[in-house]
Parts: sequence; structure tokens; C-alpha cells
Amino acid sequence: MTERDAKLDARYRELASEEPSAVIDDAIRAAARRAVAARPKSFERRWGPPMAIAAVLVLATGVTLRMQLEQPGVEAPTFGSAAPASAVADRQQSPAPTVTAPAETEADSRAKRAASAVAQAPAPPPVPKAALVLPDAMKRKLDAAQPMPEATLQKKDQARRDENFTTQLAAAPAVEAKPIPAPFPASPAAAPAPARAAAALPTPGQASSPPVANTPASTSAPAARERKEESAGFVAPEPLAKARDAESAVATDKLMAEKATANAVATGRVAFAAKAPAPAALAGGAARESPAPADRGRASTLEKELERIAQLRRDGRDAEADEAFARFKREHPDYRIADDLLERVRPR
Amino acid sequence: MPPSTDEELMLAYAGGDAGAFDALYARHKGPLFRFVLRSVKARGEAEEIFQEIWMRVVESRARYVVTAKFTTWMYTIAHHRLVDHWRARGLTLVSLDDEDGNVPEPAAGPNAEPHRVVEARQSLARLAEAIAALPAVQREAFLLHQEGGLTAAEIGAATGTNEEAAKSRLRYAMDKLRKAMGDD
Repeated sequence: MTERDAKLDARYRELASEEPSAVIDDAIRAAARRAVAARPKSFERRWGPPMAIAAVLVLATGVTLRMQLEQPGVEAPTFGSAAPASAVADRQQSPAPTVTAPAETEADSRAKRAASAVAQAPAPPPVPKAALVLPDAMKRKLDAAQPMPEATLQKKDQARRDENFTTQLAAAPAVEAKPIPAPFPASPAAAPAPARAAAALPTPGQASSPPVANTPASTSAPAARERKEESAGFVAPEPLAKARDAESAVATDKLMAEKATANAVATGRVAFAAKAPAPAALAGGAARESPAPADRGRASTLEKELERIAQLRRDGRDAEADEAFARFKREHPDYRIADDLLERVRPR
Repeated sequence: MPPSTDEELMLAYAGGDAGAFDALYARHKGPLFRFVLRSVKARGEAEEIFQEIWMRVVESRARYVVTAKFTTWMYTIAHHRLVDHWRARGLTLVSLDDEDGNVPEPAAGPNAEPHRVVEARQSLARLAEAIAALPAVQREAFLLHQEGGLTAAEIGAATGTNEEAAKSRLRYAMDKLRKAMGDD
């Protein structure tokens, strides 16, 4: 800056002395303070709705995840519901004979197999020891009578059938129950219908066993393995074969099957098969295309039931036949009745 | 503790510190008011425009980022507001006088003898008249330099032109004022 510029600047400084009025000063300062004071309110107004929406989404996601995680636990009470457990406990107080485990070695073997299968599944739930007292022969027999996949059947109905089957077991000639000490990792579906029924059958001191957590992983793995073994002509290990040959197992097996069938015919229900959650359904379409022996057995039982209805109709007891047929359709809505049989049983 | 810069004060105000605005306002209210006052005809209009400029500063606090000096940013706002004013008024030249037509009283120096006071007053009156007689763009460049302390580059940024044009306008304005003051 030159000296002439400095002189001009100095003269301008002498000239420049104006200031805004105090009223303007106060107005501007007050407006500035108001703007800052109103800031938090505007922040809430601006971010309130988005924050509320985000909170709702987070809550919904959390609840959904929690429900998914707790799903097995939710199913457990419906399976090992209080009604069958209490019913069985009551029966246990009576002098009714208990069920024996004649093929103990096979039960052990099964336990080991299931344990190895479940070891691959995440977090296998503990299984009550009551599930372990079921004889293997009985399991095989009941496998044969296991129903078709019934994923849509109501849990209430299942509990009733479980109780029915448990009653049959309790009434069966007695053999000594011998629980297997090692925890049986398979869920009721892993050891299909019989195991489920057995889960409701307590051993002494086990009537209040906790319900089994039915995890999908543990449900499908052992069951699928058993079906695979059966369809491939699986030869059981020697101890297992010996156990299956054991006479006590056969006797118990036969007895239980007869009891179950008789009960089903007498009550118009299929007691045990009713709706064990279908390993075939869980396994996928391949199993549906070629029915398993259990499915064939179940179909045979249902056909017997239908034959009974047909007999009623032949005897002219149409009212009873109608009622039985309606009950049959209600309990087995997806069972396809052969056309010729349908002609004989359907209401006139 | 060193005094905060204009930019720090503005950021503090944007963060909710009302005291920072008070400090900023006290620092710049005089120069900005004189800049506006010498750019419009009357004091009433100047105060209205002056208030509007500060309101724009307040409203723009959330968007303020330090990309240049605060004064450059503030005088840019003032320039835009004056352009709106001039457009509404048909770009009339403004007078340095207030509404009553009185020339502001110059401050008396230490050697305030009566004849020197009269000479000083007459000299300042000539300067005020010369400033008012400047073309609008040259007067704006001169006032931004004197009141805002802006450089030629900053004047160019505030007025939407380049540095060379701002420097040229400033040089023309200084030459005219020096000639009017008899310094040539």
C-alpha cells in the first residue's frame, strides 16, 4: 500500500463512525438467541418420525429373530404337554405293569447312532430319559404303523393321540423298564412316532421330565438316516441284529402292535400313528414318491378302519358308518381313499 | 486465551452458542452497517437491509462451512441483498448523507483548534461526496476494502467477479477519491 493510500484510509477512518441503532442491535441479538434456543425443538421435529420408524423396525426385527430362536422351545410344551404327562403319571401310580426294554443292546446302539447324527446338528436338546425305555422292537413295529406326514395336523390332536398310545403301552404286559443312562439326543421326530409316544411315557421318577425341544435339525437327521438304511437294505450291526432277534423284543413288539390296532379299531381312531410328524414329510419329495414301510403300515391300518366302516354300512348301521367316516375324514384329511373302497364307505 | 477467529465464532454459534454470535456481531456490526449505509440512500433503508443481512447469517448458520474468511461470506450475503435492493430501485446512486441530509460529524482530533476542525470537516465532506459520486461497482469495491478489509481477490469473490476486475475497480475508485481530496 502506498503512502497516498494510507492517507486516504486515515481520512476515511475519520469519516466512518456510524453505528446501527441500539434497537436494531437488540432485535438482531434476540433473533439470533431465539434461533439457537429453538434448535433442539426443530431437531426433534425433524428426526422424531424417522427415529420412531427406525425404533419400530428394530423392535420388529428383534422380536422376529427371538421368535425364530425360541421356536423349538415353543413347540416343546405342545409335544410333551401337561395332559399326557399327568395322565401317564396317574397311571404310574396304579399297579399297572411297566414296559420293558428287552433289546437293551439295540437301544444302546440306536442311542449311539442318534448321538452321532445329532452331534452334527446345532445345539441338540436334551431328551428325557423316558424316551429311552421304549423297546427297539416296539419302535420297529410302530415305525411300520407310522402315519403319513401330517405337518398340518393340530398339536392338540397329537397330544390326545399320544396319550392314547401311552395308555396302551401302560396296559401292555409288563416287562421291566430299564432306562438308558446316556442321554438320547434324538427328538421325537428323530426317533419317530414311537419315540414320541415314549416321550410321554415316564419311568418311575420321571413323570415330570421336561419337554423335549424339537429342533428341526435334530428332527430330520436321524430319521432320514434310518429311512435310508431301511431302503438300502441296511444290515444292522451284530449286536443290533441280535437284539432284534431277541424273543422278548418280538413278543413285546407283537403285543404292542396288536394292542394299538385293537384300540384304533375300537375307538375309530388311529391312536399312535395319528400324526407323528412325518419323517417323510421332513425329508422331502423323494420320500413321498416311494412310501416308506411305515407309511405302508399306516395305510394298512387306515384301510382296516375303512373296512370297518364299510362293514358297518353293510350291516345297515349307516348312522354309525357316517359318523365314523366323518371322523375318519376329519382325522385324516389328506389320506386318499381308493375309489372302490370309497364307494363302499362314503355316505349314501 | 487468544480471541477466537470469526470462523470459530460462527461455528460455535452454529453449534448453539448464542454468546459467540454476540461477539461476532459486535465485531462486524459497524463496518457492515457503514458498508450498507453508503450503498443506499437513506438510513432507514440501510437499517432494514442491515437487519435482513444478519437474519440471513442466522438462518444460514447450519450450512456454514469454513471455505473462506467469514467476512467474505458475510459480505457476499450483503452484496446479494444490495443487488436486490438496487434492482428494485433501478440502480440509483446512493448518497452518503443520512435522511436529514447531514454529513456525519467527524471525530475531533487532539489538536482540535476551531479552524482545523472546520478544515477537517470540509475535507471529510469532500471525501463523502466523492465516495457518493463513485460508480456503484467502484464504490462497492472501495467500501469492501475499507470496511470489510477484503483483498482484491476476496472482493472479486464477494461480488461475483474475478480478482483483476476487482483490483481495477478498486484502483479507479482510489484514484478518483485522491483527486477529489486534492492529494494528487
